[in-house]
Amino acid sequence: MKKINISKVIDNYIAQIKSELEERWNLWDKDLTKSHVYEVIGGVLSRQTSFAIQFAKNPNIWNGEIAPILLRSMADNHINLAWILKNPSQHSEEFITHGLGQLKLELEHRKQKMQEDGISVKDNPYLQAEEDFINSQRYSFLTEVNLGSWSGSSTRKMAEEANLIDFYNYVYQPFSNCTHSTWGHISKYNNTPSRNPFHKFLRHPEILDFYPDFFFLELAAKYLAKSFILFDESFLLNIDEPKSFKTLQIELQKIVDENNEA
Amino acid sequence: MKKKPILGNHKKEGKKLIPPLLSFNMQPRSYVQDSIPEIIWIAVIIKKEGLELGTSLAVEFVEIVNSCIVKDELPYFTSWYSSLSDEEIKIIIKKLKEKHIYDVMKRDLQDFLNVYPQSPFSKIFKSTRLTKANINFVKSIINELFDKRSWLSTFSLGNIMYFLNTLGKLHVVENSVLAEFPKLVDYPNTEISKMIASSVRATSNILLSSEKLKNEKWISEFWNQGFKLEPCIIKL
Repeated sequence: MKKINISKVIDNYIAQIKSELEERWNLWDKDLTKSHVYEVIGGVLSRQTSFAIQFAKNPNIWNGEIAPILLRSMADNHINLAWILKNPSQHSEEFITHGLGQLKLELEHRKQKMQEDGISVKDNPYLQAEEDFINSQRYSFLTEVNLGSWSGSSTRKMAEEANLIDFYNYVYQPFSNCTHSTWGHISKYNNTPSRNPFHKFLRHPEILDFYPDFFFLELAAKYLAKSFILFDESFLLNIDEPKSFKTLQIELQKIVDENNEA
Repeated sequence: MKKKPILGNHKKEGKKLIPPLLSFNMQPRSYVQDSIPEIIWIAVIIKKEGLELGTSLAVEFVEIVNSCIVKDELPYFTSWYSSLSDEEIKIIIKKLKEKHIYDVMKRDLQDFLNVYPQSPFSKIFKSTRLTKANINFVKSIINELFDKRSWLSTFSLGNIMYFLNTLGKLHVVENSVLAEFPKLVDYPNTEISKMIASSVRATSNILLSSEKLKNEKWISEFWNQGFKLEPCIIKL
């Protein structure tokens, strides 16, 4: 198999998306009495950018076995963003409340387990640090715990209401098979029918070797670009459309063409 | 043995577990967002003059203003000064000058006035040209006030109680911890001072609630002015 060097393309892409995030945050007019809106939306965009960076840096995951796990998280993050942008103040508040509630619940479970194991929970540095982290945003004794979804709706419903039902059907849902390791994924990637007629097509375990496929990197870049565009449409900043995705596509195509010629 | 349920003291409402205090309709409020803009003027004076002189000056100021203008609320919080008419401002300035505290108040508040030229106090004391030193001083005050239990926060909030008491608007029940209010001066070195401070913090939650003060405009101006002077610019 031929080896190609794409590190320059990847470095350029990463620099470009960092700059696109930076530009959006820095140009965005903010009202500090509504910090929660900027913290949540900025955080979601930062998460999406970070996904794309980690994806770009790790060619060993550009395959159908692993990539969809991250791509599905990116899709989830994008649907969250679209839903939050429908009512930024209220939905950001709900997003934070749910998140802090989950941290509080996790902390209570851990305390209970430690007590069951005979470990003192008093003055435990880990528990204290976690409690302080929650309290720095909202006192844990005033934090409700929501056992349902953060928005009160399913992801499908959120996607529907945010005009992303196609994205949900063609991206989120198919990639969920991989994320949840359903039969739909396992039967494609983790076992294969025996060729021996005596085995009556018995599917046996198989470990596939994967080679990096640019397709998955392009998908990650595409979902980040979608999130940037959604943000731009909502806040009407005087800003150019994100170019990182198109540049990456062109650069990758050049590499493919050059290697096909050689 | 039956396992104790997680968060057993919370009330289940649909898919939500509601903490006991929220069940009593107690809503979280932000001391940082809502109270700091209202008490910062007191903190600035304490910082400039020291606790004893600063408190005397602030009390005298509040007493004079209160003797000039009668409103439902007493003039202990910044946004109280936002609704003053030109005539009322003239009366206050005249009185402050007669009592020889106008200049000292103006000098002490100058950093604050320069950083926040739109502050309600700017109607009484004019701002001058903003300097980096003004900004750094105000930032250091805000930094100390972020911690509600800090020395400066405690005495800024404590001053409010002192104003109300001096103006006869705060009646302390005998045997309550606030009856020993002067012992707050030892904060945080004695147990009784810590108990009084705790009581001061609890009472100030009511005295400085946004619902009571209707101060959204000043709060927004205060936080957004700092942000305008030094925006949160990221470099990734």
